[in-house]
Amino acid sequence: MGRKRPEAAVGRRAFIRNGAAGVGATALAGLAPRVVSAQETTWHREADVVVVGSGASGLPAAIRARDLGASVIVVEENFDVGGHGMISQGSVALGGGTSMQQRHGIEDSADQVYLENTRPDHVHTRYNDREVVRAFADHNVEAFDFLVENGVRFVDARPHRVPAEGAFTFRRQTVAPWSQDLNETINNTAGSGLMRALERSARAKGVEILLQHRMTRIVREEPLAGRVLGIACTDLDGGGEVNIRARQAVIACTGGSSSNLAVRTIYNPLLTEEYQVGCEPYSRQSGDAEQQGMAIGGSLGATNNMRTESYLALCKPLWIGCRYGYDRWKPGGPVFDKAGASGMAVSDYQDVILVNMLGERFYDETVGTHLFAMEGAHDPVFDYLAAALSSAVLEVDGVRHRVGGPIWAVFDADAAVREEWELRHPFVDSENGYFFQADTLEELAGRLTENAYQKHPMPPAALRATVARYNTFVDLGEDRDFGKPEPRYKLQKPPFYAAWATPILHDTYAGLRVNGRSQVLDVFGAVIPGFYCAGESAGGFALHGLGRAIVGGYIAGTNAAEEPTGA
Amino acid sequence: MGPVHRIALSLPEPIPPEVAAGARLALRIHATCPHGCDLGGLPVDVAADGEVLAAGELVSGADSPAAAVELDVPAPAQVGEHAWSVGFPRHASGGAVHESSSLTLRFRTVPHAGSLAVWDVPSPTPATGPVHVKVGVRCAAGCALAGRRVEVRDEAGASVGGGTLGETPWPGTSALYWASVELPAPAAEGVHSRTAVLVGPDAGPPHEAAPATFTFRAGKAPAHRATVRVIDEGTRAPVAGVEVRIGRYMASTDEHGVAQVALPPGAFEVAIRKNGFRAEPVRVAVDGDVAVEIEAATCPTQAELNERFFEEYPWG
Ligand SMILES: Cc1cc2nc3c(=O)[nH]c(=O)nc-3n(C[C@H](O)[C@H](O)[C@H](O)COP(=O)(O)OP(=O)(O)OC[C@H]3O[C@@H](n4cnc5c(N)ncnc54)[C@H](O)[C@@H]3O)c2cc1C
Ligand SMILES: [Zn+2]
Ligand SMILES: [Zn+2]
Repeated sequence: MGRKRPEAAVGRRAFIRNGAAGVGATALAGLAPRVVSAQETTWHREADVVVVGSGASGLPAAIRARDLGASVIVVEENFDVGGHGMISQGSVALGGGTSMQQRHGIEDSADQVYLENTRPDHVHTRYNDREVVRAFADHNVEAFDFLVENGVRFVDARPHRVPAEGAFTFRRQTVAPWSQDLNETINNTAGSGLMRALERSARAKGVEILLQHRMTRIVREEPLAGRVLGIACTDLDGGGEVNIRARQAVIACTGGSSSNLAVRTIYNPLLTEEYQVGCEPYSRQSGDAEQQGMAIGGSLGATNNMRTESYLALCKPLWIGCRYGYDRWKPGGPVFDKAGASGMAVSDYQDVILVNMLGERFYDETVGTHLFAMEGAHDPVFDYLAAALSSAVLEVDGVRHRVGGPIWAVFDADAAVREEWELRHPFVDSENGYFFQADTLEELAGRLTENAYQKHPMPPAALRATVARYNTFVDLGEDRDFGKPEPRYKLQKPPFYAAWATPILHDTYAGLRVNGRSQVLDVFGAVIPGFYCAGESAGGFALHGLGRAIVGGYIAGTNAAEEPTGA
Repeated sequence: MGPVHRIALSLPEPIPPEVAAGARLALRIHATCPHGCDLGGLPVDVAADGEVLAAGELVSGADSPAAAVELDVPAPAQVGEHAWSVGFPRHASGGAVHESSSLTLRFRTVPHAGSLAVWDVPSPTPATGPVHVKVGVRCAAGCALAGRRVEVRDEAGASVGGGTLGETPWPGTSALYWASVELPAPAAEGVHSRTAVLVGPDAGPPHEAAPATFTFRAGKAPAHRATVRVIDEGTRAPVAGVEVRIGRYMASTDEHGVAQVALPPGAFEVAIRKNGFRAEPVRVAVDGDVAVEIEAATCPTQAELNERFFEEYPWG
């Protein structure tokens, strides 16, 4: 299939020095909206339906439109298909009475799916758009059968459930992984079984997939009026512009906006550049659907869902000492060099202190390592995350700034032994700016500006004072600053270490406002003809993951294929 | 005699105003003749108070009019203000005479920045007998600090112990030179504070390091002994390398799965920790020597749990 592999990792040190912009600065450079009228556009390619993104919503949308007779082109900016869907663990939340649920004696119905996902007493369901959830509920069974018909193999086991998602019935079933070949699966997870099966089926049915093609603009008849006619793309390999006309519809499935500073700071202005995104460096949650959709008049929807106090939108990293500590990047995979290291799991947060960019502690380290809130209870991890997003008060030229900034897990040689950490490649990379070792705490603090986001030096005396105070808390048996329960171990034996432990972004729970047919609405609440959106770029529904993406794509593909064919 | 040319000397990268005493400076010197003469092969030197510190020959620039040379010059070991002069001696060759020329460089030498670490501080300390701690010093420039002295002072500032830094850096560090320091046991129970300082002597360049304050707890005399044996619940085999915690007192199990912990009398909770094992804490009342056996069950390690996180959602 002539897949392109990514270019080799950039020179390790080339990128780590960065301009003088203060932390907290948000470089909002994006794709500048270039207003071009439809008449000016030269079409290079055309199809009935054009899908942007080949992930968990894009491929179902493409296959479904093709099944209904449309010709389909999918553009994908990455060197390979699948997006987050490929890297995911392939645990798919679909219910409503699927054959799998029936076989395992689980009673479910579309109404039950709907009611559970509109519950007012759960933080994850109370703000959902009822029209969007209704459409989701009504298409669960069909979407499940559709996956099976297109070659997705589910592990035949009793579906399980995730109370925190608001889906209290047993709905999650796991896809069988694709193969053992990391070049096929990218990170050897079951998501490959979902995305490779869909890719194979799409290609067999005649869906054309253009890899390394990035959508840069959505073309509408008038800048803010009329039908959507197609998209403009950049061919990332050849460099040229490729404009693709969509006779029936454009379906934007760009995976949410976590990687897009301009869009993510609409929801939460504190999500400045230091927060990295899970699943990078494989694929981005580019926010391009949202940004380009808004540029042609589209509206955001159900933005209440995008508060950070919600499930996996922002997390304490599961893996520290690496840049992308959301899921573990496995050595040997095609993007491992870009990821740099796979990181270390912290078995006991008594072993580290978490300090801000100024070397100060700011919260009880032991709080909330992904403790899912049961039945809608408040999850204390979000208080930790809020503290991290405001961890430091910086003084620059006599003016104070409250910022988030990097969070470092600082520990000593004894802690490394207790945790059984092997502080070497591939777990950490001591050159890439996300893991440091030094003979003393002062030396350690002095090295941190080698990280691109540590824009201000950590005062060495501050780190020493923080540690001395913490060590006294160990003697006293109580943390008089942040109430860490019985601080247990002193941080004293050289060498000393600092591992990147900054919160990491993942899920997007809001996006373009869509109706139950996955059509995008404009800022006046009217449908933008010929424009659909699904997956994490679509708003209305805060359900985590694949289920929402697959069903949204399926609904979009169904309706796009029924659009009138433009002249 | 031909025309007289006056060359220009310059340093493309100036000396920083403050330099660590004794540090080696790589001085890149440029010499240019305004008339475009090739100065390659001509000598330059760096001198202080008339004494030449380093000398070399200029090399013609490949694509610049300046000839250049890099001289490696040690900064003075004494702290203070200094002036160096870069000198180009008068030289006649071919048609032209190049006048002698000089450039003055001013800078200040400052002490090396050092930093301290204090570790292996027992806490709670044994109630009787001396307390042993390790004190290490690292120079930011990486100097071998063997032979320098460190001192530990009490809350009142009185010296209570000291040591001489040894020849080899602490394992795992690049230049942390260290000494073992014996301190008298504090008389009173409670948390005590001590401060480690670098005191010299400064044979080589002077070093300055912020004092390092550390604390420890002096407890009741541990009159009793707890012998804790940890076995694998399934195989009944002893488990080595388990951290055993009884109240504040800790020890590790040996290859027989046994840890010995000296304790004062009292009621305690015995907890264990080892990646991949778990056991509920047990309570013991200590009023004499006690023996405790703990059956530990195997469980996934944190790394294994994290790897399965998105797949299994253990809460689901
Ligand atoms: C480690 C991990 C584990 C997960 N595990 C699970 C799980 O077990 N169960 C579950 O339900 N969910 C899981 N998820 C979440 C799930 O993968 C996502 O919710 C889902 O893939 C979202 O689908 P999507 O189509 O919106 O985005 P994606 O699947 O990410 O697809 C978006 C695609 O759009 C492309 N794109 C973006 N911008 C452009 C552009 N301008 N032009 C062209 N292409 C573009 C991207 O490259 C990408 O390929 C997991 C995610 C990760 C990262
Ligand atoms: Zn000359
Ligand atoms: Zn030195």
